[in-house]
Amino acid sequence: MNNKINLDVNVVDILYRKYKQFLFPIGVIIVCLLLFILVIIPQIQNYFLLSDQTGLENQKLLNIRNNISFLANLDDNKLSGQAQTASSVLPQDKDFTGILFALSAASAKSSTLLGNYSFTVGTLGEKNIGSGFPFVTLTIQLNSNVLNTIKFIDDLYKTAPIAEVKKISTDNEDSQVTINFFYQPEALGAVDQTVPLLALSPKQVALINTLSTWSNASPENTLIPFTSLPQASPSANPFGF
Amino acid sequence: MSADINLASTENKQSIKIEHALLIIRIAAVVAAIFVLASASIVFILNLTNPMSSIKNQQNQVLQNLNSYKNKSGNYNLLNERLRDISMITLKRTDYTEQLNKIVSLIGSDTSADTLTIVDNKFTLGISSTSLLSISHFLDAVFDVSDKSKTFTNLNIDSLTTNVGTGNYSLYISGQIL
Repeated sequence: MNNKINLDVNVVDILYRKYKQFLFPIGVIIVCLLLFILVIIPQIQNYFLLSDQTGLENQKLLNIRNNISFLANLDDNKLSGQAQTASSVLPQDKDFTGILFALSAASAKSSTLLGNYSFTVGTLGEKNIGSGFPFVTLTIQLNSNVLNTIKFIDDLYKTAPIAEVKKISTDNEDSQVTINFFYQPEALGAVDQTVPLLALSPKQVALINTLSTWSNASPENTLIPFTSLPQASPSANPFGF
Repeated sequence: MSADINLASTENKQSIKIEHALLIIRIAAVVAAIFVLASASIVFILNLTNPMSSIKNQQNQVLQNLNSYKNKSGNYNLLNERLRDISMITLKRTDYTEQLNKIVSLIGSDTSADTLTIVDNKFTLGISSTSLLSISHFLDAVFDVSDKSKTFTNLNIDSLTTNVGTGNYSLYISGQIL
């Protein structure tokens, strides 16, 4: 059986004449199909994408409105005081004055006498491997026995700025204590104002309440400023206490 | 009989079939055109009526309102950030005071703590007393606390000496603070 198809010029011409009416509607269908695939489907996808974005932007708008309402209801004075307390406990830079105040406060409370002290300032980028926060190391001499040294550390742990005792060495009335005082520079970069502001958690409220009782953490708990101390005090305490 | 396919057949039946097929294709083309036109119009209108630009405008307006609370917002963010960091430090920093207070509270009235050294959680404590019994009581209490509260570990008596001149007994113990 011969299955060959004869497709010479004459046949093509006859076929064209016979089926030319089909060409236009088929062309229209093909163009419609191409338009649907190449234009309309991407546009539909774009619409859904835009809808999602609109939802997100709407949520952001709602968050900003809620944030305004939240901030409007905050007590400005209380918030400033709390921020000041938290900043005193964890200063933004090396707060040498705060450190000296803390030592004075702790020594006054524990009835110990501060002797020599030396700072190991370190570099700005220094990080404590354990806690991940930069610190200033300070080694101090105390004229105190074991009990008073422990009391001193106990009081220092309730005094701003926040500190960590690394070494203690006490021999009768002479003690040497190495302390790290932490600080943390403020995070750089603009704050995203569309992130919802949440009220302080009970844990945070408890923490800020505890911190506000620490010495030097709030104005009412701050000791007498150095400028008001007698200039040539005969006291053995270099800070005049 | 020739088995060649002849597409140019002039059979009537075939002509009717072709007319029918042409009609279907024409209808399909019209439907496709209408469908594409309609869907394009709908998508265009939907995209045109999307409220994104309106939302962005509103956002800008409320952000301007938020600027009047700039100080409050700054203070609040600072407070949150500081509290988070302080919590982390207080969780991670070594705090010997509780353990030291516990061990010191065991020292009797006729016993005195003379030396104390703490480096990297290892402590050495030296106490002295004129009464050997008091030192013994202190030791019993320390080991008892160590067993019960797991405050210390690796407790070790480093030395127990007597000063014949003063009649004082000195005890040095060391251990690890948990």
